Formats: sequence, C-alpha cells, structure tokens
Amino acid sequence: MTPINTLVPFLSSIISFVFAIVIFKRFSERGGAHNLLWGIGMVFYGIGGFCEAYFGALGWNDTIFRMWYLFGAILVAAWLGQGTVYLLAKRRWANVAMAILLGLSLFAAFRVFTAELDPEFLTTSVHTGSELSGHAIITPGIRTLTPIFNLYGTIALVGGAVYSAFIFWRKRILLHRTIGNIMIAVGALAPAFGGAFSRFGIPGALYFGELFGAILIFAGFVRATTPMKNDQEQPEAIPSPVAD
Amino acid sequence: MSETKNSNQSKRKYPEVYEKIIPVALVILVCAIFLMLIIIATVVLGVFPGSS
Repeated sequence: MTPINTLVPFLSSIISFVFAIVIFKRFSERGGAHNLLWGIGMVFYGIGGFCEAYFGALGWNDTIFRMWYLFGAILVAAWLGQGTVYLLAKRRWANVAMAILLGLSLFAAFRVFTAELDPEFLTTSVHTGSELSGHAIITPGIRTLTPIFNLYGTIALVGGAVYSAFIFWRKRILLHRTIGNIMIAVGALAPAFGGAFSRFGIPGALYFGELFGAILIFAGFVRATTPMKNDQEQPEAIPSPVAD
Repeated sequence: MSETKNSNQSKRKYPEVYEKIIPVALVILVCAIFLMLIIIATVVLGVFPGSS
C-alpha cells in the first residue's frame, strides 16, 4: 500500500463523485440528457477510482476488479462522450448512438461479470500505480471491447470540447466557454495518456493522469459555466458540452 | 447593415494573452487527439506494449 496506488485514486474518486453530484443537481434544475449522461459518466469515473484505491489498499478482489474493468476501463469515456453527442449532434442521431451504446454497455457488463479471471496475469510492477490491467481477464474477446468504447469516447468527448472551443474562439465570444472546453479536452485526454505512459512503465502515470483529468474536467465545467468580466456579448445559441 | 455586423465581428478580440494561447492550445489538442487515436489503433492491432 502506497500513497500512489491508494490515496491518488481515492482522491480521483472523491472529486468525481462530488462533480457527479454537481451535474445531477444541474440536471434536476435544468434537465438535459447531456447533464444526465455526464453525471452518470462521472459516477463511473468515481467507481473506477474507488476500485483502484481498494485494490491498492486491500489487494485482489474478484468483484472489485470486474467493477473496475467495466466502469473504469470500458464505459467511462464513452458515456461522458455520449453526453457531448447529445449537445452537438441532432437528437435523432444522438438517440440512435445512445441505443447502441446502451446495448453494447449491457453486453460488456455481461461479458465482464462472466469472464474467467486470473490475478496472476496482472503486471508484476506492484505498487507502481499501474498494476491494475485487463491482463487478469483470461476469457478471449472481452479486452477488444475496451478500445472500441474508448475510441468513441475520445472522439466524442475530446473532439466535441475542442470543436466547441474552436467555434467560440473563431467568433471571439464567451471566453469562459472557450477556456472551459479546452480544460475539459485536456482533462479528458489525461487518463488516456496516463494509461499509455503506464504501459511504458512510468510509475503512477495512470493514477495521476486520472486525478489530473478529474480535476481539470471539473474545473473546466465550472469555468465554462461561470461568465468572466470580459464576456460582454451574449451570442445566439451555440452547442457546447457545457453551453446551457 | 450586414457589412457593419461582419466588420464588428472581425474586430472583436479576446484579451491579448488568450489570443496567443488559445490557437496554440487548440492545435496541440488536435495533435493529441490524433496521437491518442494512433495509440488506440496500435492497441487494437496488438503492437503496443502490454496489449498482447
């Protein structure tokens, strides 16, 4: 047990759950499928962090590992990205994407919770902040689901935030939303790059990436929803991950 | 009327520091997205370390 593999993911988890509460409160006040999906996505983020902290503190647990892989490794980016899809795409296409995502998520849940596991196949770099990986899953075909979900999530969440920031920047309006969307994009990329660096053996890269990502996405959301003194003009409705 | 509107729109600017930082940040982010997509593709193809 070290601060890197317990405290860092636990902090990510706390920040994610607090952020989820903030978004659900916004959803209860204003509605919007994007708010609901972002809130659900941050709950998934929090579950992933909690499972990592649990593993770091108490070691292997079958159910905790399955929850971590399902919510933290497979679903989180895609569900956050789906929220952005509801803001940027036409409602009809967003509904179609949602139906596909829901179906695939249920399929992934079934596969993950019925998979054969062997903790011996986890990386030997114990207590480095990168020891949790899908290697413990023996059943073939499950790990190929992960990049599919993450590809969709990355394009939708990061691409949507960058697109929104670009639109605001091009029109030179609502500086707070430009900055907020850039922060969200960087924050959403942080766990992905953390995971990549972890694979190259950099200690703690994944968990610090997740913590940095949770903080930046939360801060970006607050920034994007809090006007600055320089924002003098209110534009026509422009879609943005946090435009309402 | 519309020319005036366009003229005003083109003159509108962010504070100077943001005028410099934001386009650089956007370019870096677009590059990062492409890099991430390449990494995901290599994971799918099984050539990335630890993906086998």
